[in-house]
Parts: sequence; structure tokens; C-alpha cells
Amino acid sequence: MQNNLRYRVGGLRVLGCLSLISALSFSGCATPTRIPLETSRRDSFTSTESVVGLRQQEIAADIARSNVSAATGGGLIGAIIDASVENSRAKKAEGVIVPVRDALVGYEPGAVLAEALRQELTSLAWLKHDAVVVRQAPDNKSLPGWIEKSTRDAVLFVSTDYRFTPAFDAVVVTASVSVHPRTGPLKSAIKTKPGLPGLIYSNAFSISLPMPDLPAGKLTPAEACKLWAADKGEKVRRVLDECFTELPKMIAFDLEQAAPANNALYAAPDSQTEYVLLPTPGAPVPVMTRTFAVGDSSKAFVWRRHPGGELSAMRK
Amino acid sequence: MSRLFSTAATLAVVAAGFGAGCMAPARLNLANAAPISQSPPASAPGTTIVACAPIEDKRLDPEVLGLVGGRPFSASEVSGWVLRSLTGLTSRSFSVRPAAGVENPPVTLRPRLLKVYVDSIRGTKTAVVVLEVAFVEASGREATLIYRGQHAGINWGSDEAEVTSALQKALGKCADQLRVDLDAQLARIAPRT
Repeated sequence: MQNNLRYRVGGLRVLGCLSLISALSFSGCATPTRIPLETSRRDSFTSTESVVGLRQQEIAADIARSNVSAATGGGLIGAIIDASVENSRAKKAEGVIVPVRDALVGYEPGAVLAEALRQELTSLAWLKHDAVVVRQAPDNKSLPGWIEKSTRDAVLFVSTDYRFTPAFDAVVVTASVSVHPRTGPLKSAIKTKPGLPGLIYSNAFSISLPMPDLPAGKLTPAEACKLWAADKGEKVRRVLDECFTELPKMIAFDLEQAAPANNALYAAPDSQTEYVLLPTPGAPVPVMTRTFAVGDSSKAFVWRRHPGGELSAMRK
Repeated sequence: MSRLFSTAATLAVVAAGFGAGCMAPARLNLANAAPISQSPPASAPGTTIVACAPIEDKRLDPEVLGLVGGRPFSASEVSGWVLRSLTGLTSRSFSVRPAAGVENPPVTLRPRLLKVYVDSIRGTKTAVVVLEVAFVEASGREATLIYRGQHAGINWGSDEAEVTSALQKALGKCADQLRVDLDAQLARIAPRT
């Protein structure tokens, strides 16, 4: 089931994608959303602590959007139908996901991510990273307080979300990552981003992994959840472990990558137009966009750079 | 009439969707929020007194509940709220009381609070409570069960009252399951007590 996600996303109705495609076409004149860490600032790091912020307490369900409103050209009636359909879908999703959540009771994604982050960031000697804490953080409102109370000169904040795709055939992990100076010379390099304290780096990441040994043929969400939950959640635990281990590798890689000249969008000669998940906080958005491979191609995952600078990963 | 109600309900969802994400954080007061049970209350609570030990709160943050429609919710004293609900649990065969005031109970409950949160998927809000309860018999025999109560319903406006109500219903479902298990447990050990 290689590229399962692309297959699935490619199966979206055309109308559903049109808005995304058109939205993307506007990004041609935009600037990157990624704020790279200036290479010259690396010598200014004296001590860094990571804060892993978990947006939720359990794996989340997602639902396919109802597109009646779009199909009928907008209007209140279409919006009412969409809301009603989506409420029904959400209730069903919350019901079928229960066995998986039960199987994950006791699984601590924060601990897995924190340990992987500790290992990967230690390899960046210039970051002087020496601590990771895990917090419940559904939003970024507590971040200024955590930065203020930190005993390090900089805080790397990883706000992460993990959920199933609407068909429950894959797990998607997204993360918004930012670096915030607390004291010292890095304070002079601060940039601004809405909803976040002053920062010197910011980017968004997503990883999508399909169910291991996904049976051929279409599974209902209930059937898929039963498979995810089997053997005390062996499949879902394995996939989450892989995602939370891969994410810190992407972060460590990205912290050392420079920006394109003149603040241009990210592009490469081998850019391909394809459906990928654009990492957005909470729920990644499937888009047709031009991305290109980055990182070490010998790894099990392929990393794709989006025009805005975001990174997404899929299994090869 | 029901169609009219349904349309009104959905309109509220649509309207709520436009306002989502720009509301002030809400801090819930759960002091008087009793669990909303699906089972009828016991007409005459049983005379067997079951003890309930203090709750061990295993959550990362004792106050954060989550986001509904983009609005952050929190509450203090969540574990106290759950404990009060458990110590008020009754059936025709038992009444649960705080362990401190009970001598030689046939069963002592040792609850651990694993999850309490609210969330939303588009226009639907959800509330979830997950409890792990160890049943410790006077003989020393111990069994542990996990209880999950959840509620999903239309998110009318991400307000405090509806989110509190959703949490009450979620906790009520935990309490209903626990009541059934405790009845069965007491029936099983009755000859030995």
C-alpha cells in the first residue's frame, strides 16, 4: 500500500479539491510561511529547552467535509445540509474510534516524542539542548508563561496533534514548531507571527502513515478501527511510534536549512505536482501542490518540501 | 415541528461556526454538576456501604479540558468533581461513601482519573471521561476495570452550560457502567460478607 495517502486523497471529489486548488493558485504570489533560523544565530545559543505541547488527550477522529454548499453554489440551505451531515458523521466517528482509544489507554505519545526529540536535538551541538518537558496544550495561550518560567535562554515549542484520516486508513501527525528566545543576544533577532510570542524560527510539519498490512478492498471505519485496535492496539502503537520518532528527525533537519534567496517560495527543478497533506494546526489539508524531496533519500520516509516551506513525510 | 427544530438546530451550528475561534477562554465550575445518568435513581439505596478512596489524577494537566469550536475550556477541582460523583453513587444494593468514614467495607474502590476532555469535530462537540477503577475486596482480592463515558452532540455556541452538560453526561455514562459492575461484584461476594 505504498502512497496510500496519495491514492486516498486523489479519490476526493473534484468539487472538494477545486477550492483547495484555487486557494493554492493564490499562493504563487505569497511569501513562505516557514521562518528559517538564520545560520549566523547558531553561535548565540547558550541553552535550549523543548516543550512538547499535546493538543489533545487521545487520538482524534476526523470526518470528510460535506460539500453540498459548494456543489450548489453556496447559500444557507447548502450550509445547513453540510452542518447536519457533518454532525452525523462526527457522531459516528466518535463511536467507532472507541476501541482504538481503549487500546491506547496507557500509551504516552508525549513521552515517545520527548525521548525522540531529546535524541535528535542532541545531535545539533550548537543548539545546546538539554531538557524536554511535556505539557497539555490545546492552544498556544500558555506558551508565554512557560517561556518566562524556563531556566534556559531559548525554548523550542512543538505543538503536536495526532488523528486518523476520515476513512481511518491512516494516522496523521502534525506539528507546529517554533523557537523562542527568552534572554540573551537571540532576543535581538526576534520575528513576529500571529498567535505566538516573539520567535526566531517557525515551521509546520506533517507525517502520514497508512495502516500496516492494510487489507485489500474498502474497509468501513468500524472495520478499520477494529484492526487498529487488535492485539492491544499493536498497529496503532507501531504507527504512532514511527510518526513520533520521525518528526524530531524532520525538525532537526529543518532547523539547519537556510531560506531561499530573496524570500522566494520553495522550489526545486525536480518539483512534482501532487496531492499531499499541507500541515496546518489541528487538521492537515489535502492540497494539489508542487513539492520536492529533501533530506536523506535512503531513509524509510520521503520528505517533501512545500512551496511555503512546510515539510511533510510519507513512507516510501 | 421536529423538522423545524432540526433546521433551527442546524442554523445554530452554522451560526456558531462563523463565530468559532474568537471566543474568550472559559473556566467551568463543576462544583454542582452532578453526573447525568441514563439509569433511574435507586428508590431506596442499599445498605451495603462501599468505600471510595481518593482519586489519583493521572492527567498531564489537572485543569486543561480542551477546545470546543476553538474556545479553550478549563476547570479546577476536576478530580474533586469526579470523586463527589462516585461517592454519591447508589443502587438498590449499595451506597458509595468516602473511604475515610467507612469501617470494614466489603469493597473499596480505588479510582484513577485517566482522561477528562472536551473537543469538537466541525459543528459537533464531544466530552470524554475515562476512569480506571480498582475494586479491592476485604479479602484482598483486587480487579481493575476501565470505564469510558463519552457524549457527542451539536455544538450550539461553545458556551459553558452546554460543555458542562456534555461532561455531566460523559461522567454519567461512566457511573452507570460502574453501578452495574458494582452490583454484580457485591452479588458475587455477598455469601462471603
